[in-house]
Amino acid sequence: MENHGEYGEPVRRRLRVVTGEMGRSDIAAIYEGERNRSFRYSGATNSCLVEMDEEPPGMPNRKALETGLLVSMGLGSKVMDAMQVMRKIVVDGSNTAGFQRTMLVSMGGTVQSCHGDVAISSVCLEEDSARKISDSGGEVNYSLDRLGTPLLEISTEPDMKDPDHAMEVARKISFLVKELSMLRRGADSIRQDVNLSLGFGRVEIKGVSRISQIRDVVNYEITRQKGIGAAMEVLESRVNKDFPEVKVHEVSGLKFVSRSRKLATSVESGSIVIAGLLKGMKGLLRNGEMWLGREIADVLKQFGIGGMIHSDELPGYGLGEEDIEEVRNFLEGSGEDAFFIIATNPSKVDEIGSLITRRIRKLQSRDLSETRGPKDNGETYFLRPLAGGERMYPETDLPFIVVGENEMESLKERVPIGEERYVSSFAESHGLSTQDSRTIIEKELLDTFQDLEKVTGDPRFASRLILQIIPDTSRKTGKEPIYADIMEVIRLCREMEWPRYAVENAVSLQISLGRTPGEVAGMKEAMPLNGKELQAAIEEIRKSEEVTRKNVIFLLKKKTMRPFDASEAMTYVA
Amino acid sequence: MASGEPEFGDSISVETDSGTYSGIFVHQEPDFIFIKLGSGYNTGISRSRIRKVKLVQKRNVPEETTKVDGRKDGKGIAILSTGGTISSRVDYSTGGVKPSSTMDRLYSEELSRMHTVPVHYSSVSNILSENMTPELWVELARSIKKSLDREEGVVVFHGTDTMSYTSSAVAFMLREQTGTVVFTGSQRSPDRPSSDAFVNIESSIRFASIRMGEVGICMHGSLSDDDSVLLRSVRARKMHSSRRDAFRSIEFPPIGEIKGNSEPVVTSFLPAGESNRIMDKLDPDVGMLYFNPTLSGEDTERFVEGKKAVVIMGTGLGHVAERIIPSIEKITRSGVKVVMTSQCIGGIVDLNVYSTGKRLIKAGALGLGNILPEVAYVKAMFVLANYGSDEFEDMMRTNMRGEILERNLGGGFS
Repeated sequence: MENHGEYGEPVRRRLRVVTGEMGRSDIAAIYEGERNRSFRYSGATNSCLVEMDEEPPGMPNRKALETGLLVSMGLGSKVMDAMQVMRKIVVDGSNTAGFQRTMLVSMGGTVQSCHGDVAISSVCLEEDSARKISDSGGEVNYSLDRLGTPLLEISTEPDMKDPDHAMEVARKISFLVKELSMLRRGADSIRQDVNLSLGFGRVEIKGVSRISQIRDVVNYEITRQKGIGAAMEVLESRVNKDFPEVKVHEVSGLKFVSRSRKLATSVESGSIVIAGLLKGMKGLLRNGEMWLGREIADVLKQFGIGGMIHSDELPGYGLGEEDIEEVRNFLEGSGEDAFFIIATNPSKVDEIGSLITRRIRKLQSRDLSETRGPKDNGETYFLRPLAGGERMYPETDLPFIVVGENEMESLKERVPIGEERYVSSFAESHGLSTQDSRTIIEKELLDTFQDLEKVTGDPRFASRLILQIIPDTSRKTGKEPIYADIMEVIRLCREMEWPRYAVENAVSLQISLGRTPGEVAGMKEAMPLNGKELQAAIEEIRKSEEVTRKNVIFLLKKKTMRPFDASEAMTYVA
Repeated sequence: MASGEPEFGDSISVETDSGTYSGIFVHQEPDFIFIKLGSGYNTGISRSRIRKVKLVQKRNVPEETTKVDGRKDGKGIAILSTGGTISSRVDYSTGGVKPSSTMDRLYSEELSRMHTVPVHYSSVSNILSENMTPELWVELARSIKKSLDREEGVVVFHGTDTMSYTSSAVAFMLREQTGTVVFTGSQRSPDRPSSDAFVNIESSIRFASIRMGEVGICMHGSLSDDDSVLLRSVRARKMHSSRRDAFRSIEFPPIGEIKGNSEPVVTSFLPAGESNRIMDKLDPDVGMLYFNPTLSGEDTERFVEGKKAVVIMGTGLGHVAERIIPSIEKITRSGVKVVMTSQCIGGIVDLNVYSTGKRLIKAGALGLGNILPEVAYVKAMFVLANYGSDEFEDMMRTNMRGEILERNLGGGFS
């Protein structure tokens, strides 16, 4: 994305939960309200009063809507008769208004895949959220440079058989969108929200940025959910069906606190240390595939409560058996019980017990539905409860949108055709092999290819440069190609009417030397040998060695750095 | 429609030529029926494609409660609601924002947070502020007086568009007051999580709890939610159509501020009195005319017909085209009062500087220093109704409420 500077004074805001259109509040919104945070927004040179939530919005960007319509048509999705912009309540601060604007463009359609057709549920046009800059628990900082950027949300039905299948479908869908933006510099960012259900409710993993990561997060979720199931079976064999309310006690005065540097420092800086018993949970918090400790810590973290220590991690953190006994005795725990210790701001204490109780009871009810986020390593973490339809109500500042028949008709010739058909038509129109065409498209080299095609006037030569000469030289020399310079050096070579092999040589020189295109084209080593010079060079070699058709090229290369026409050289050797 | 007209909230299924849609009926337009799908999205289905609409289930929407949360007995703050965005909810059956008469649903959280102050809510009217009239100003002033007799202070919910007119009118009518009257509103309706209403209400109640002889306007002091100001109503003006800090105190500092979590700070306010006294008469026969380069004398005379006073927003120091001056003279001779104010909003009207001004004085026009145009207009209604015609000029020049700045300190111009 382009870089946009900060603009104006940052503003500070709070968001409050409101009831939806049907008079109910959304669970995800209520959850956010409980977190009670304030937000700080920095304007950007590409933002305005609308992003600041200081002015009613304008109509959706026409081009974005067109893209939505074209993608819908490409998927065979039925475009809605009248589109209503909705407000989707999001009170985590990522939208200044407290809602994201979103609009249902079409429903239905399919993507073909190796396991048959996968059904499309809907295509929506949305506004992207604000970019988070920092999060210090109580206050979250956002930049407005991304807020309001058009975003297409394409949802499928749960028809995917396995992670690889999901990746295939994601790739196919993203290609349709890319196809429409092929002519623009820079691929648009594409993110995946992965939804999966293993029989314990729907888990949504939001914002998976790489398609290859889909497999990792799905596999992680499978392991995680199995682990929770196993842990719950153990738990139920130890305690009643209803997990007892977790009670929190202040333990700042106990001896063990002074023996942990981490805890002692927190106390010095004004925190208090609390501990609580987790009935029957010994060995379930971190043991093989059972990681309930992480389940609890994740939830606390969302409320700005970090640094939980639990008994399955002990001995550790400077705490030994004696300390474990001290805490366990203080909490009157038995051998099957686990406990946790947290150093926290006194104002947070009241929430902790109920947050933990609620989390464990939810896991116990085998309702694992929630929204989670992906980590770079393919793991996932708790973000918030799953939002429902309750959080949607109409954007009353905008009229509904009807796309006329004429407009739909005029879009027809631009409907994306999908990867397979696109590759074969590209190969045909440029006289390239299907394989080369596919590589150019898959590696997102289309922009560069088009530039090279223009400057060389020859699609096959452009393809050879982009798929062989440039990457080979770059690999050998360890230098990144600078395309602007490459284009310029090609242009200069063509001006001098150099043959192809000389142009290739100049491109390699350009990459390896990194000098200005003018310097490279003016170098003696770049200038091709003409017929006369070639003949003279061969004669020169002959004075000391026998020259045959087999060794002429080798000997010439030893003699001169300058490029020459190999087949021509052969003709001079009888 | 096949099975009777559906109502908002009914579950229906709509059979079309390309499939069936199920959802909750929201509203209808001449060409479309809008339903809310299970996903929460509202979508319009073209009537021309509809074969059949089936009622699946009658509506199941929680009824609005009427209980006021946080209500405590004893002397506290009265909230009088007149309508406006602050008292509005989205009307989902039409899609527009409409005043709502039940405040508890909107603000139960804010009202119950006022632990120490009992808050008593009542609705005076329920309209958008562009529909306010002098009759309603008088009614409101009476309600405010009654509330002040019982409570520490009063908060008035009002639409922001004409808030400075109403609050100025109340300021003139209230001759003596025992507590503070704070008008507040919102620029973002309370159905959105980012509404400014929540902060404005809390801050207003806090200002109204301080004993002052002021009628003020409390809104955001900046675009941030932790910055509330109390502006003297007769110096306040809405200067932006959409920003939450739309109100500015013209060339006069705010009389109160609440920054972050700190206590309200108030300065140079008029002291509260021993009793509450109102002069509850206004003469609505006052007009306001915005001078422009094609305005003619005839236009001016026609506009003034049937009025007892006219406030002209002139250019610069208070001028109009010289061609109009004969008509102004005619108007004043007929007994209609002509008051000159300035389109500049900031700065004074001074008719002694240019020859045009001097001619206007001769024609009987009255220059009123730095009074704001809308305030002059409201004040003229008050003066006409409560004083004799020969007292008009004297009373208009009398600084009743701080509407005239004796000295312009030069600050606050931005």
